[in-house]
Amino acid sequence: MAIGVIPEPSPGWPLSGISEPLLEVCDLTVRVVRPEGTAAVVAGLDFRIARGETLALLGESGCGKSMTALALMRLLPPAVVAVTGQVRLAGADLLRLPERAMRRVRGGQVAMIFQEPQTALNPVLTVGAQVAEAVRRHTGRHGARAVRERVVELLGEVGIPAPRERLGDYPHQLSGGMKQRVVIAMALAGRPQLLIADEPTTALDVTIQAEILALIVGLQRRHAMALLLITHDLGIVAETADRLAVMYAGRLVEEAPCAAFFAGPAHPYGRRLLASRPSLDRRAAAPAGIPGRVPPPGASVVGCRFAERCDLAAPACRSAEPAWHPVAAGHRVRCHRWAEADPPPADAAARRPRPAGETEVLLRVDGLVVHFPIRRGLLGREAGRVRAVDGVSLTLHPGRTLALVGESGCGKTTVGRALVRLVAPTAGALWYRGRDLARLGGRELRALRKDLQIVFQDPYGAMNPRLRVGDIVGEGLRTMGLASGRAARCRVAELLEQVGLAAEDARRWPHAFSGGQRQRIGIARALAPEPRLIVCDEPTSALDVSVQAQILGLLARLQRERAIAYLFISHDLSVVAQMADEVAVMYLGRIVERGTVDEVLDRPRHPYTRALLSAVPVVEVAARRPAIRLAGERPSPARPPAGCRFHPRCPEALAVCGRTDPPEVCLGGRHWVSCLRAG
Amino acid sequence: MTPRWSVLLPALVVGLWALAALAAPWLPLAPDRIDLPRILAPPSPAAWLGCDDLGRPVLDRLLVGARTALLVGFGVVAVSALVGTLIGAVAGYVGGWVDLVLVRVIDVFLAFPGILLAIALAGILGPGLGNVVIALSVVGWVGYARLARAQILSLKQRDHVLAARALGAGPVRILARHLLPLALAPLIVEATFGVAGAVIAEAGLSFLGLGVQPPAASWGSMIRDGVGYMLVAPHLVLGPGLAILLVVLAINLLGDALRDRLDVRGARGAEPG
Repeated sequence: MAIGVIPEPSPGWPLSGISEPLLEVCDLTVRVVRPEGTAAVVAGLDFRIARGETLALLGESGCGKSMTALALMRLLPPAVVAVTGQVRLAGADLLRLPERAMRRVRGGQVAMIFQEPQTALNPVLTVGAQVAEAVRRHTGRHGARAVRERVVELLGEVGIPAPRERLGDYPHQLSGGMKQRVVIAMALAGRPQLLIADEPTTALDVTIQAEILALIVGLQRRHAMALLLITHDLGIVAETADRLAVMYAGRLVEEAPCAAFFAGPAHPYGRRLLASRPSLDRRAAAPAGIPGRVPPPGASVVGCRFAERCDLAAPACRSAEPAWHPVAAGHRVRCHRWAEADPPPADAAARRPRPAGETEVLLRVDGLVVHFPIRRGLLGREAGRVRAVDGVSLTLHPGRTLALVGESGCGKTTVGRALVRLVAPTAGALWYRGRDLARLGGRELRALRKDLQIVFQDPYGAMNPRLRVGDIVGEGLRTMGLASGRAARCRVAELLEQVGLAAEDARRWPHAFSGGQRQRIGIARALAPEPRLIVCDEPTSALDVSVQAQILGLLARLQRERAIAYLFISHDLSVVAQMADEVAVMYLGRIVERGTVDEVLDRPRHPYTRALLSAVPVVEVAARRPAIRLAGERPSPARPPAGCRFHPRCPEALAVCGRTDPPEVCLGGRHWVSCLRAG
Repeated sequence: MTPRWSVLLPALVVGLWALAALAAPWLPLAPDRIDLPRILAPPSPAAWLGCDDLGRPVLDRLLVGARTALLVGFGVVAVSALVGTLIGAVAGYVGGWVDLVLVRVIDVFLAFPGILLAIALAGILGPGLGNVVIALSVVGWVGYARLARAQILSLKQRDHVLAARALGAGPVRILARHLLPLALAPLIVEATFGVAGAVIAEAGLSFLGLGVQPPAASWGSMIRDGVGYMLVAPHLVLGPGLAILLVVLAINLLGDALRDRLDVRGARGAEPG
């Protein structure tokens, strides 16, 4: 396709049944200027959005989707980035508008919502002042009273309770979800025709995410706005979008109506992505994943960019970049071999055998309490306590996975760290081989550390950037005196191969590896002393879906081979469904419900578990549950409410719930719940 | 790449300074040769920078003085950076009452005007090169301690430190292997500026007569000796004055360049070591 020429309408295009497009993007290319030359991080994008339509731009990290959004808004620094092509909004080419006119478009005709509400708001201005600024800029209202009324109206529209009282609040006084609502109110101020939402819920908890998505979709319908939703989450796409465009390594590879895509993606990348996605109902299935890694942004690739990772790739795929092929009306794909069926999966034993019945107990947590003192004043007097963990009991079995599920701030990470004694328990016992870990110290504890290891969430922060991979993985061997010198080097090489890396990688620095590869290094480090329990603290939440599947597969394989017990800490119920044998749901320092995966996920009894489950975005239309909305905000763990901790937000609460702390009740089998209404 | 003059020129100045200081004992210099007929002689081919109030060649004394400045500059920084980093790192890592006590001590030292404290100490200890280094180090360690403590406090929350603890690493190993190497970059930058500060402080003490004693040469004492003749023989003050200016400016420029290089936020990208 020649640059600067409007492309010929290809077959299956324009899309039938769609009225005149609001936004028309032709051959949009974003080149990053680097010392060694320019590199195209977004290459020849073309798509359209009709008025009132939702188009999801789906892709994994580094595929150029955020760059695309910023390029549409002309928010990329011109010194670093060259943008070519055409972006026509209602006829006017945004890339050629003078900057003055473009300023009227931003926030006026087109508004944008960012991922991090924390950084999208100015911390030193009140919420009212920030929304008022947007109102004055884009509506021409200037009277203080009129602006104020409009601000209150906007805040009310995005569901902020008692908006008039919130005007004088500063961003830090609001929760993450409320801040995102304020950001949305600012975006609405100019009555935009197009709203660009760049991962608007990725930084939020799952129950809040469901509310914000419902809000965005509701506003979009009411104002007949077009919505460009940028996301990596297939579930969100399925629940909110009309059409989707899949991006891979800077290129669009497929464009389809949502229903058609989820019924059968044409591009092998889309098919693999869908197979990689854990689902609430796909229990214990070994995840598929996509081998290899995305070419780095701006890499020059001859032929199809996905060919390296594609199991359908033919020689033609490596020599010529595929053009658009029509699949059906409104469905097109950039693939030579889209009509081919998938080869049968290599690993036929997809289901992981679940150990049944009672097995021996590896570690028993009994009434674990971890409080962090809040110190104030010169002498550091204790002014209060954050009750991070407030009476948690769990049992871990060899070779099995117990998942600890909860939203941010519920104390799940603290439980994990207390288990491996990285934080000292305030009270309670950790029974391991007849000894109470909570009472051990010094040399005795050091001797037991060998058996208890941990894998962290952030694959970047979890390793010392000044050590080579071999030293990182071999750290435990040396500190515990398990091996040294040549023996240690051999063991490190062996460990690296077990986690799917090469023995030569021991000599490289950690920054040379991608997020998924670093997580493998972290797993190898934890495996080195041959532990019997590994605490996996959100090991995949920083990773892309296709990489997450690889890591989950690796963890499952290692567990099969070595009978390691996992405490799998996660906020993602779909991942939990796939990984866990047993589940414990945590809220504000307590476990509210626990049992086997099937018991908890199929027959949730606690209202909080039900709300969590209902909030998970689901691809399959039949499996969707009506959303249960939780009232109010999560209270601070420094001042937990009396009685049942969940009662202020519980849709089923009785008067007695505010007075009585619910005891744990057995519902049969291993299913326990702490709810007064469960008896 | 094009040569960066803002780095090359200062590097050249500092290089010449270090060369002069290190080679001074082997050069045919006569810093202490009194030549009464040439008292206050202006620059001439025989003595490029002229002679001082006792007829001693200014250039020779300048080169010997470079040695004093270098010894004090690097000596003070070596001692105070080492002691300060150690104390700060321990305070930051151990925490609790140890930290509380050390922070109070640091605050007390910071409450004194540094140079006054150094003057008092140098007065008590008596003159001499070694005592100047001690006096300036007693004042100088505090900055490194504060910086090291802040660095360690923010680094010790990182997951890789937790991972090392989970693998059974003891506190000494964690400090030496997992914390200090990551905290080093800003400390090195601080130390670079510290050399310049120490050169000026030494010149100041010598100017007040608290540094090296006559007949040994130091830039500060040369300026003091020359001040009385400023109107008749300005070269006595100009020589050492310009030497101090050039060296301090060059070191500060190098420090800036070093900071720009090392101060890459997030250790993700930077190739270590």
